[in-house]
Amino acid sequence: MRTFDAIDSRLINLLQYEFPLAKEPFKELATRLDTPEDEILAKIRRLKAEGVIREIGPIFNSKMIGLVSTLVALRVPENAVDMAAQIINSYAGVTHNYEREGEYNVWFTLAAASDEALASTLEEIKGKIHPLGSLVVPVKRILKLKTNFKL
Amino acid sequence: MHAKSNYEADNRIIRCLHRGLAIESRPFLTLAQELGTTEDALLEVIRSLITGGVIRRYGAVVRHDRVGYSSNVLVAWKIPEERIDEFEAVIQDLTEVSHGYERVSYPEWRYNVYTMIHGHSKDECLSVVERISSAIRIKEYTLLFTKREFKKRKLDLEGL
Repeated sequence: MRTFDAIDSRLINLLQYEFPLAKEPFKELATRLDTPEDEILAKIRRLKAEGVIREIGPIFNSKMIGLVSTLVALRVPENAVDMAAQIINSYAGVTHNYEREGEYNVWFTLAAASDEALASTLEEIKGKIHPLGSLVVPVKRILKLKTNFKL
Repeated sequence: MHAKSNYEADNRIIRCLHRGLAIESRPFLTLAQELGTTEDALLEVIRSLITGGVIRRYGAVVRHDRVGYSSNVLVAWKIPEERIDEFEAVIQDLTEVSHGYERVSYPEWRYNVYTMIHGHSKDECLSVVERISSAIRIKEYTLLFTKREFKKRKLDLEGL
Protein backbone atom coordinates (compact mmCIF):
# COMPACT_ATOMS: atom_id res chain seq x y z
CA MET A 1 0.00 0.00 0.00
CA ARG A 2 1.30 3.45 -0.77
CA THR A 3 1.36 5.89 2.10
CA PHE A 4 -0.81 8.96 2.08
CA ASP A 5 0.14 12.40 3.33
CA ALA A 6 -2.10 14.22 5.81
CA ILE A 7 -4.01 16.09 3.08
CA ASP A 8 -4.58 12.89 1.07
CA SER A 9 -5.95 11.09 4.13
CA ARG A 10 -8.32 13.89 5.05
CA LEU A 11 -9.34 14.26 1.41
CA ILE A 12 -10.17 10.55 1.08
CA ASN A 13 -12.27 10.69 4.27
CA LEU A 14 -14.14 13.82 3.15
CA LEU A 15 -14.76 12.40 -0.33
CA GLN A 16 -16.28 9.28 1.21
CA TYR A 17 -18.36 10.65 4.02
CA GLU A 18 -18.77 14.42 3.63
CA PHE A 19 -18.89 15.03 -0.11
CA PRO A 20 -20.34 18.54 -0.65
CA LEU A 21 -23.48 18.57 -2.76
CA ALA A 22 -22.71 21.94 -4.29
CA LYS A 23 -22.10 23.43 -7.72
CA GLU A 24 -18.37 23.50 -7.05
CA PRO A 25 -17.81 20.62 -4.66
CA PHE A 26 -14.05 20.44 -5.14
CA LYS A 27 -13.67 24.14 -4.42
CA GLU A 28 -15.44 23.59 -1.10
CA LEU A 29 -13.12 20.70 -0.29
CA ALA A 30 -10.18 22.89 -1.29
CA THR A 31 -11.29 25.54 1.19
CA ARG A 32 -11.70 22.99 3.97
CA LEU A 33 -8.27 21.56 3.29
CA ASP A 34 -6.69 24.96 2.75
CA THR A 35 -5.25 23.79 -0.57
CA PRO A 36 -5.80 25.23 -4.09
CA GLU A 37 -8.65 23.61 -6.03
CA ASP A 38 -6.31 22.69 -8.91
CA GLU A 39 -4.20 20.70 -6.50
CA ILE A 40 -7.25 18.95 -5.03
CA LEU A 41 -8.47 18.02 -8.53
CA ALA A 42 -5.01 16.70 -9.42
CA LYS A 43 -4.83 14.65 -6.21
CA ILE A 44 -8.25 13.08 -6.86
CA ARG A 45 -7.38 12.29 -10.49
CA ARG A 46 -4.23 10.59 -9.26
CA LEU A 47 -6.12 8.59 -6.61
CA LYS A 48 -8.53 7.45 -9.31
CA ALA A 49 -5.75 6.54 -11.72
CA GLU A 50 -4.07 4.52 -8.96
CA GLY A 51 -7.32 2.68 -8.24
CA VAL A 52 -7.57 3.95 -4.67
CA ILE A 53 -10.86 5.66 -5.53
CA ARG A 54 -13.11 3.66 -7.81
CA GLU A 55 -15.35 6.63 -8.42
CA ILE A 56 -17.45 9.39 -6.93
CA GLY A 57 -21.20 9.04 -7.18
CA PRO A 58 -24.38 7.78 -5.59
CA ILE A 59 -24.63 4.47 -3.75
CA PHE A 60 -28.19 3.43 -4.53
CA ASN A 61 -30.53 1.32 -2.43
CA SER A 62 -31.10 -1.26 -5.15
CA LYS A 63 -34.58 -2.11 -3.88
CA MET A 64 -35.62 1.54 -4.16
CA ILE A 65 -34.64 1.69 -7.83
CA GLY A 66 -36.81 -1.30 -8.63
CA LEU A 67 -34.26 -4.09 -8.50
CA VAL A 68 -34.38 -7.43 -6.75
CA SER A 69 -31.21 -9.17 -5.69
CA THR A 70 -29.84 -12.14 -3.83
CA LEU A 71 -26.68 -13.83 -2.68
CA VAL A 72 -26.09 -17.27 -4.19
CA ALA A 73 -23.70 -20.00 -3.07
CA LEU A 74 -22.67 -22.92 -5.26
CA ARG A 75 -20.82 -26.12 -4.53
CA VAL A 76 -18.53 -26.58 -7.51
CA PRO A 77 -15.81 -29.24 -7.95
CA GLU A 78 -12.33 -27.78 -7.58
CA ASN A 79 -11.46 -28.32 -11.24
CA ALA A 80 -14.60 -26.55 -12.47
CA VAL A 81 -14.30 -23.37 -10.39
CA ASP A 82 -12.52 -21.33 -13.09
CA MET A 83 -15.12 -22.23 -15.68
CA ALA A 84 -17.95 -21.42 -13.25
CA ALA A 85 -16.35 -18.07 -12.38
CA GLN A 86 -16.15 -17.11 -16.03
CA ILE A 87 -19.79 -17.99 -16.68
CA ILE A 88 -21.01 -16.10 -13.59
CA ASN A 89 -18.87 -13.03 -14.36
CA SER A 90 -20.44 -12.69 -17.80
CA TYR A 91 -23.80 -11.66 -16.34
CA ALA A 92 -24.52 -7.92 -16.01
CA GLY A 93 -26.50 -8.45 -12.79
CA VAL A 94 -23.48 -9.94 -11.00
CA THR A 95 -21.53 -7.38 -8.95
CA HIS A 96 -19.58 -9.66 -6.57
CA ASN A 97 -18.18 -13.10 -7.29
CA TYR A 98 -15.74 -14.95 -5.03
CA GLU A 99 -14.15 -18.30 -4.44
CA ARG A 100 -14.45 -18.92 -0.70
CA GLU A 101 -13.28 -21.49 1.81
CA GLY A 102 -15.88 -24.06 2.83
CA GLU A 103 -18.36 -26.56 1.51
CA TYR A 104 -20.03 -23.97 -0.74
CA ASN A 105 -17.06 -22.53 -2.53
CA VAL A 106 -18.43 -20.05 -5.10
CA TRP A 107 -20.44 -17.08 -3.80
CA PHE A 108 -21.92 -14.35 -5.96
CA THR A 109 -24.55 -11.60 -5.86
CA LEU A 110 -27.16 -11.34 -8.57
CA ALA A 111 -29.53 -8.43 -9.28
CA ALA A 112 -32.37 -8.27 -11.80
CA ALA A 113 -35.30 -6.08 -12.77
CA SER A 114 -37.92 -8.56 -11.53
CA ASP A 115 -38.33 -11.75 -9.48
CA GLU A 116 -39.03 -13.65 -12.70
CA ALA A 117 -35.89 -12.35 -14.39
CA LEU A 118 -33.85 -13.21 -11.30
CA ALA A 119 -35.21 -16.76 -11.16
CA SER A 120 -34.69 -17.42 -14.87
CA THR A 121 -31.15 -16.02 -14.85
CA LEU A 122 -30.32 -18.24 -11.89
CA GLU A 123 -31.71 -21.28 -13.67
CA GLU A 124 -29.68 -20.39 -16.74
CA ILE A 125 -26.48 -20.06 -14.70
CA LYS A 126 -27.08 -23.33 -12.87
CA GLY A 127 -27.91 -25.03 -16.17
CA LYS A 128 -24.51 -24.04 -17.53
CA ILE A 129 -22.49 -24.90 -14.42
CA HIS A 130 -24.30 -27.96 -13.01
CA PRO A 131 -23.21 -27.33 -9.40
CA LEU A 132 -23.25 -30.19 -6.89
CA GLY A 133 -25.40 -28.01 -4.67
CA SER A 134 -26.72 -24.46 -4.46
CA LEU A 135 -28.15 -22.04 -1.92
CA VAL A 136 -30.18 -18.96 -2.76
CA VAL A 137 -30.03 -16.69 0.28
CA PRO A 138 -31.80 -13.36 -0.25
CA VAL A 139 -31.84 -10.74 2.52
CA LYS A 140 -34.73 -10.94 4.98
CA ARG A 141 -33.63 -7.94 7.01
CA ILE A 142 -30.74 -5.49 6.97
CA LEU A 143 -29.13 -5.40 10.40
CA LYS A 144 -26.35 -3.00 9.54
CA LEU A 145 -25.04 -1.22 6.48
CA LYS A 146 -22.28 1.21 7.29
CA THR A 147 -18.86 1.11 5.74
CA ASN A 148 -16.08 2.71 7.67
CA PHE A 149 -12.94 2.95 5.61
CA LYS A 150 -11.52 5.98 7.34
CA LEU A 151 -7.83 6.72 7.16
CA MET B 1 -49.91 6.77 -17.59
CA HIS B 2 -48.68 9.63 -15.46
CA ALA B 3 -46.99 7.28 -13.02
CA LYS B 4 -45.21 5.60 -15.89
CA SER B 5 -43.75 8.80 -17.31
CA ASN B 6 -42.56 9.78 -13.83
CA TYR B 7 -40.93 6.39 -13.49
CA GLU B 8 -39.18 6.87 -16.81
CA ALA B 9 -37.98 10.32 -15.79
CA ASP B 10 -36.62 8.91 -12.51
CA ASN B 11 -35.01 6.06 -14.36
CA ARG B 12 -33.21 8.44 -16.70
CA ILE B 13 -31.89 10.48 -13.78
CA ILE B 14 -30.80 7.34 -11.91
CA ARG B 15 -28.94 5.96 -14.93
CA CYS B 16 -27.26 9.30 -15.50
CA LEU B 17 -26.19 9.71 -11.85
CA HIS B 18 -25.06 6.07 -11.70
CA ARG B 19 -22.33 6.75 -14.25
CA GLY B 20 -20.48 8.81 -11.63
CA LEU B 21 -19.01 12.27 -11.38
CA ALA B 22 -16.31 13.76 -13.59
CA ILE B 23 -13.37 15.21 -11.69
CA GLU B 24 -13.74 18.80 -12.86
CA SER B 25 -14.65 22.13 -11.36
CA ARG B 26 -18.39 22.00 -12.04
CA PRO B 27 -19.11 18.28 -12.36
CA PHE B 28 -22.87 18.56 -11.89
CA LEU B 29 -23.15 20.96 -14.84
CA THR B 30 -22.33 18.25 -17.38
CA LEU B 31 -24.94 15.91 -15.89
CA ALA B 32 -27.55 18.67 -15.62
CA GLN B 33 -27.11 19.66 -19.26
CA GLU B 34 -27.49 16.07 -20.34
CA LEU B 35 -30.74 15.84 -18.39
CA GLY B 36 -31.94 19.21 -19.69
CA THR B 37 -32.00 20.83 -16.27
CA THR B 38 -29.94 23.14 -14.09
CA GLU B 39 -27.27 22.30 -11.53
CA ASP B 40 -29.44 23.66 -8.72
CA ALA B 41 -32.40 21.52 -9.78
CA LEU B 42 -30.21 18.43 -10.14
CA LEU B 43 -28.61 18.97 -6.72
CA GLU B 44 -32.09 19.31 -5.25
CA VAL B 45 -33.10 15.99 -6.87
CA ILE B 46 -30.02 14.30 -5.40
CA ARG B 47 -30.82 15.68 -1.93
CA SER B 48 -34.40 14.45 -2.18
CA LEU B 49 -33.21 11.00 -3.33
CA ILE B 50 -30.97 10.88 -0.24
CA THR B 51 -33.82 11.99 2.05
CA GLY B 52 -36.10 9.40 0.45
CA GLY B 53 -33.57 6.62 0.98
CA VAL B 54 -33.07 5.96 -2.73
CA ILE B 55 -29.43 7.06 -2.44
CA ARG B 56 -27.76 5.66 0.68
CA ARG B 57 -24.68 7.83 0.39
CA TYR B 58 -23.22 10.20 -2.17
CA GLY B 59 -19.45 10.15 -2.29
CA ALA B 60 -16.32 8.26 -3.16
CA VAL B 61 -16.18 4.49 -3.32
CA VAL B 62 -12.69 3.40 -2.30
CA ARG B 63 -10.88 0.14 -2.79
CA HIS B 64 -10.56 -0.77 0.87
CA ASP B 65 -7.46 -2.89 0.27
CA ARG B 66 -5.72 0.25 -1.07
CA VAL B 67 -6.44 2.35 2.00
CA GLY B 68 -5.10 -0.08 4.58
CA TYR B 69 -8.04 -2.45 5.08
CA SER B 70 -6.17 -5.37 3.59
CA SER B 71 -8.09 -8.18 5.25
CA ASN B 72 -11.75 -9.10 5.41
CA VAL B 73 -13.90 -12.06 6.24
CA LEU B 74 -17.50 -12.98 5.57
CA VAL B 75 -18.94 -14.77 8.60
CA ALA B 76 -22.15 -16.82 8.56
CA TRP B 77 -23.83 -17.23 11.96
CA LYS B 78 -26.56 -19.46 13.36
CA ILE B 79 -28.60 -17.08 15.48
CA PRO B 80 -31.93 -18.15 16.98
CA GLU B 81 -34.74 -16.05 15.50
CA GLU B 82 -35.62 -14.47 18.84
CA ARG B 83 -32.02 -13.32 19.42
CA ILE B 84 -31.43 -11.52 16.12
CA ASP B 85 -32.30 -8.14 17.68
CA GLU B 86 -29.65 -8.76 20.33
CA PHE B 87 -27.12 -9.64 17.61
CA GLU B 88 -28.07 -6.49 15.72
CA ALA B 89 -27.34 -4.39 18.82
CA VAL B 90 -23.94 -6.06 19.33
CA ILE B 91 -22.65 -5.24 15.82
CA GLN B 92 -23.92 -1.64 15.66
CA ASP B 93 -20.95 -0.06 17.42
CA LEU B 94 -18.27 -2.26 15.89
CA THR B 95 -16.82 -0.09 13.13
CA GLU B 96 -15.10 -3.16 11.63
CA VAL B 97 -18.51 -4.62 10.72
CA SER B 98 -19.64 -3.00 7.48
CA HIS B 99 -22.60 -5.22 6.59
CA GLY B 100 -24.96 -7.34 8.66
CA TYR B 101 -27.86 -9.22 7.12
CA GLU B 102 -30.48 -11.71 8.18
CA ARG B 103 -30.85 -14.05 5.21
CA VAL B 104 -32.98 -17.03 4.21
CA SER B 105 -31.66 -20.34 5.64
CA TYR B 106 -32.28 -24.01 4.88
CA PRO B 107 -32.31 -27.30 6.81
CA GLU B 108 -29.00 -28.20 5.13
CA TRP B 109 -27.59 -24.70 5.77
CA ARG B 110 -28.88 -23.25 9.01
CA TYR B 111 -26.72 -20.13 8.92
CA ASN B 112 -29.17 -17.21 8.89
CA VAL B 113 -27.09 -14.12 9.70
CA TYR B 114 -24.10 -12.81 7.74
CA THR B 115 -21.54 -10.18 8.66
CA MET B 116 -18.77 -8.65 6.58
CA ILE B 117 -15.78 -7.71 8.70
CA HIS B 118 -12.88 -5.54 7.56
CA GLY B 119 -9.56 -5.06 9.27
CA HIS B 120 -5.93 -4.13 8.82
CA SER B 121 -4.92 -7.78 9.32
CA LYS B 122 -6.40 -11.27 9.52
CA ASP B 123 -5.81 -11.28 13.29
CA GLU B 124 -7.74 -8.05 13.67
CA CYS B 125 -10.68 -9.58 11.75
CA LEU B 126 -10.58 -12.76 13.84
CA SER B 127 -10.50 -10.82 17.10
CA VAL B 128 -13.65 -8.96 16.03
CA VAL B 129 -15.34 -12.32 15.31
CA GLU B 130 -14.29 -13.49 18.80
CA ARG B 131 -15.64 -10.31 20.38
CA ILE B 132 -19.03 -10.73 18.68
CA SER B 133 -19.13 -14.43 19.55
CA SER B 134 -18.45 -13.88 23.24
CA ALA B 135 -20.77 -10.86 23.48
CA ILE B 136 -23.66 -12.88 22.03
CA ARG B 137 -22.49 -16.18 23.63
CA ILE B 138 -22.88 -18.07 20.36
CA LYS B 139 -20.11 -20.18 18.90
CA GLU B 140 -21.94 -21.52 15.89
CA TYR B 141 -20.45 -19.64 13.01
CA THR B 142 -18.37 -20.35 9.94
CA LEU B 143 -15.60 -18.21 8.44
CA LEU B 144 -15.99 -17.82 4.70
CA PHE B 145 -12.56 -16.48 3.87
CA THR B 146 -11.97 -15.30 0.32
CA LYS B 147 -9.68 -17.50 -1.75
CA ARG B 148 -10.01 -15.55 -4.99
CA GLU B 149 -11.93 -12.46 -6.11
CA PHE B 150 -13.41 -13.04 -9.56
CA LYS B 151 -15.51 -9.91 -9.86
CA LYS B 152 -16.23 -6.79 -7.86
CA ARG B 153 -17.77 -3.84 -9.65
CA LYS B 154 -20.75 -1.58 -9.55
CA LEU B 155 -23.95 -2.78 -11.12
CA ASP B 156 -24.16 -2.55 -14.91
CA LEU B 157 -27.61 -0.92 -15.10
CA GLU B 158 -27.45 -0.69 -18.88
CA GLY B 159 -26.87 -4.43 -19.17
CA LEU B 160 -29.84 -5.54 -17.07
